[in-house]
Amino acid sequence: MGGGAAITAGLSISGCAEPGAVLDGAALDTLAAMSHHLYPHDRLDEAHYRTSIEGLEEKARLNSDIRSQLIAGVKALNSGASPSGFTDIDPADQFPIVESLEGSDFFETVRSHVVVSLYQDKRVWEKLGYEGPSFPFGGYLERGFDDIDWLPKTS
Amino acid sequence: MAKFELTDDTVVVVIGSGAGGGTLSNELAQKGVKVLCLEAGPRLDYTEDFVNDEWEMFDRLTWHDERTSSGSWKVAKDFPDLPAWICKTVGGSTTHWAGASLRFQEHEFRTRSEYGDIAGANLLDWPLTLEELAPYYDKAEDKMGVTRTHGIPGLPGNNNFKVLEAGARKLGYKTVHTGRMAINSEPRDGRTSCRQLGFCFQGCKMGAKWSTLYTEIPKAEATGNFELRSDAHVLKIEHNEAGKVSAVVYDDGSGKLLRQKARVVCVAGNSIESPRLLLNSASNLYRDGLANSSGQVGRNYMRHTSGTVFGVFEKPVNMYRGTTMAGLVGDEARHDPSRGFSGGYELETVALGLPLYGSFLEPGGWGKDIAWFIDRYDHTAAMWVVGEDMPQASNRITLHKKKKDRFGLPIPNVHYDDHENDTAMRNHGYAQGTRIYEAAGAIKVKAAPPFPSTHNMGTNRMSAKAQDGVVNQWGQSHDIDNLFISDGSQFTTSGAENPTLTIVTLAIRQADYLSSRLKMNEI
Repeated sequence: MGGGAAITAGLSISGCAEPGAVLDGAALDTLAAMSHHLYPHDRLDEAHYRTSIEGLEEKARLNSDIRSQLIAGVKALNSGASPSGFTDIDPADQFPIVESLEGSDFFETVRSHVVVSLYQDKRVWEKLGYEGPSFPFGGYLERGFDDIDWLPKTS
Repeated sequence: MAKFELTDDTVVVVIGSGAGGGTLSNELAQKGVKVLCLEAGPRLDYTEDFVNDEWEMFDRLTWHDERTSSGSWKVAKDFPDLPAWICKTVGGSTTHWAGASLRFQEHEFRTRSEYGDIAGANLLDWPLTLEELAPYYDKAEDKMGVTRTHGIPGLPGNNNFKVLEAGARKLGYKTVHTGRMAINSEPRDGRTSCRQLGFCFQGCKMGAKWSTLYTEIPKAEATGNFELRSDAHVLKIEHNEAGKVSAVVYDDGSGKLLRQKARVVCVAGNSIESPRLLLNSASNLYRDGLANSSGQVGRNYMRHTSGTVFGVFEKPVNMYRGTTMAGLVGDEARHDPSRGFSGGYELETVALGLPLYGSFLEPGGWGKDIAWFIDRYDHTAAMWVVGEDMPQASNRITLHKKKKDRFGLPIPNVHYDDHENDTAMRNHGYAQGTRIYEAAGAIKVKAAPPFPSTHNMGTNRMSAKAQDGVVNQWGQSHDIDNLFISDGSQFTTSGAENPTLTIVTLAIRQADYLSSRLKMNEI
């Protein structure tokens, strides 16, 4: 199923990666699927996870070590799922494959990137209840800085 | 602003423009002393260059020059390349700090006498007492506009504080309030009052929080006796044949090295760079670095026990709304060895935005357990343990044996091992913090290890005897009478209190001493 899997896996939600890209669409999809296991939130969509790994493309372009790590890492994720591709198998089956790579440079490169990019995404802020900049709105003085109303009464 | 010639050897050169350097510069300039301040970082405009974005301001304000870390402390494992979260910018770490301004307690100036000889700790009494410092603390609180002093009302409590307060009162804690804060609760000293932006750590865009950037520095400039050169990184301090410091060599920001003559040099580069500068200034006469006959330069590095407790609740808290340090529980700051350790700690609220929360909740962590907490971000309250850590001679800043900066100078390594007193205190703080949040109704509580150190102290400590430290009670080095230390590296102990107020206090007192010695031509 190899070639067929490669063709179908290349069609991702966000479309293909740029021509001449270091990581192709299939690789980005695989990394996105991995990132979902790193920080799993039911309230977030595939689009958020896809965005969270896109910056790795640039890192790979600028740094050949990172590039090799990512290519080898994606390969390892796919081998773990073989004969299917990583993105074709059930998430429950994906998880142990991701977990098995913990401790590797690849794992840490992706994790340390995603933990910053995912929680810097303004759409994720909205989903998880972080209101972001407050200066443009005059701070929280009149916008609920002390509005908590459910605390137990103290004796 | 004044403009001094490089060849002017009558100026006092102050290295660093933060709590110590900025305050000292202004205090001296007000007294008619000619002061040149060299600040390694850029000069930002707080109205334009501060943005309410955690990572962007982290990039913009932080000292990013390479540092390594070693020792068994968790920071070396979690953040090996960033032992300290401090600043490289005009205003230094007063741009980033949360504003907490507590005086040291009386016994914290004489921990060797009070705690006894704790094995493994290099305890020493300050050559100063609280009584001697009290009038200067008073001046510092006035200068900074500290709430609950000088008739200034306390700040209102935000949600994060209310959670802490509810739990603490339920447990019977008595000293629970919104702190003594250098943040205007009403307009004062030409600056507006706090609007609870919630981005204190990212630089106060209101100017409500005291920072030398928009207080001491412009006031010094207005005297006509002061010049600030920013993007000016001092690399070496030079001395003459008599052993007195005579000049500094600095990079002017364009890669050009300049030599500025000086009558006096005051070092205020925070507790990693200051000792590094002295060590990198070694010469034939001072083979172990300047002011280091005792061997204590770089040693006794302290950073408070640190450590954070996060509490998750069934309903929203929105801890990020409003001041980061919104209040405290002070009962545990006492010295009470029956708890199993010497010294004490404050519990102070801390808040993180979602971006930093993801990175600090559990450094290196991932998966369902972490995501469970982050999913409940807006239901989370947080507090920080500010506890007195033990000075140890082996906790120290040293020059890296191999790595050099872009000027060919050895970079600093920060070595730290927790003393068992530190661990016992931190664990007590975690336990009490947990109890407080549970009393307030927390469904789950998580303790997080220390962040990169925001409180850095002790590496050029004060001592009565020259063999025990680096400087005397005036911050004047024992070895070289025209070389002063003006930042928190002077601290002989770390106390249970945030360092900035005491740094400012010492700078005001040092300015009195230095200016009168200068006037009498004794330096």
